[in-house]
Amino acid sequence: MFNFWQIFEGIYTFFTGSLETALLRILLIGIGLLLIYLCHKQILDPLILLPMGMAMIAVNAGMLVAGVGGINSLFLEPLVSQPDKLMQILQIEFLQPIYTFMFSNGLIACLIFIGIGVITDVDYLVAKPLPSMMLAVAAELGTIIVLPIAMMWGFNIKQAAAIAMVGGADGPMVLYTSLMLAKDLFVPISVIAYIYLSLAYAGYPYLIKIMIPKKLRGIRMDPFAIPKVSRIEKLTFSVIALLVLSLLFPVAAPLFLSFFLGVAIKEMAITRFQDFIEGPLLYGCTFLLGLVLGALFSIDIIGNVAVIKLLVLGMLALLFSGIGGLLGGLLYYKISGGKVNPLVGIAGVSCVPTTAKVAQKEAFKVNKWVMLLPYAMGPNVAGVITTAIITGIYVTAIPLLK
Amino acid sequence: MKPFRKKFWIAGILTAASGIILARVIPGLLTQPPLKFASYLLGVTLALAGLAILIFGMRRADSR
Repeated sequence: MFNFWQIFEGIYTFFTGSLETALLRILLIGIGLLLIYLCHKQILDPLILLPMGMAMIAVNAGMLVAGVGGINSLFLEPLVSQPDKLMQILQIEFLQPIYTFMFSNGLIACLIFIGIGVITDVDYLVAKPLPSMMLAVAAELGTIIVLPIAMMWGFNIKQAAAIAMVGGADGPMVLYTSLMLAKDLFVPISVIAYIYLSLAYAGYPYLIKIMIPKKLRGIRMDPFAIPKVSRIEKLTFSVIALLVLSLLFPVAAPLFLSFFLGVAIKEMAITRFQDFIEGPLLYGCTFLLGLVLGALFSIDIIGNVAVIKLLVLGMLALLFSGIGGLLGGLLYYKISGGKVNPLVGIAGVSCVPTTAKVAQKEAFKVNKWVMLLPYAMGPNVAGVITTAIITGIYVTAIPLLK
Repeated sequence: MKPFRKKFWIAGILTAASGIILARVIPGLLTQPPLKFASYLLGVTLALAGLAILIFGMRRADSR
């Protein structure tokens, strides 16, 4: 018998499935609206979260009846792997080509990493490698602590390692690790990681206020005291680091190539490549990444009990990494005899350049003469390298433990 | 090349190369997983130490 509401399938599909499914769809639409509101208020960065929020609304509202009692959307189907069905879906689903040819093979992560390399300043890292690496290692606390916690919570070691990598606070590394170690959890881990990384800008200031006394937050560091590093040194560093790290961790070699190629392009001042990579490539990939992540945040991916555990573990991983970084910053402050602002520790959490900006913003709130950003970029970039090293270790060594 | 810089280049390359061999070649010749893992970790540490020596040598030579 014909049902009038079948004409409006988006509304009709609320009544064809279970009550929980309908409520979850409404919740996800609500979260999409909230993300857009927070972007409008500039509490969150709109670059990735605006397309993500819009896609979340569209994919959860625009559900169609598919097959017997099932619902589906025309955005993407991430779990399809049979070649003939995949070829069919590629011609129908709107974002499927982006997901299949750019997201699930890590290409978009590598392209974004090239962009990060081009916009990153490695001066402080090359000038003071030991303190930068010390802070970056301290800020990896989350990736180490959450591994056994996730295993205790029922995940196997490969899945636990993929989840723990959220603490590395590096989107491309999280994508890569979960692709290599836990393909079944790749989609929810990636979505959760990117949402949390976007929330780090809003969340870490509260952690800073709890852990670092106000007086220490305002310590001035002279930006002109950073030793000069020549272009040839930075170029040599990027080539040697690429060679050694690729030999050590071939599974992460595409990411190392992407990052250090970006650095080399910047240091050789190839302005045509710089302009293209900084502009159309980086922003284009960020835009597409936000769209795909939002489309992945649909009821058929998120309606899984494991997602709740992933939400908690992801938050723990980033929290511990922030705590580790700030403890490292306090240690550096003590070692330097009070000359170093401990806020540089949070920049060791390798969300480039978000956490370096958080350090600068929180210092500026206490003392408008503090210029922390040049110092914070050292541990920020070192954090990228240490996260890549831990990615390589997890992806290479964990299979050896079998 | 200045002798001072050369010393760090040689030390850095030798240390990094030893680390890479320990991390990438030796585990394939061992049979027990704990030994493989230990060789791998030690190799990674050595290789990164070699990288650090190279960067340090680059900076020391430049500051002279």
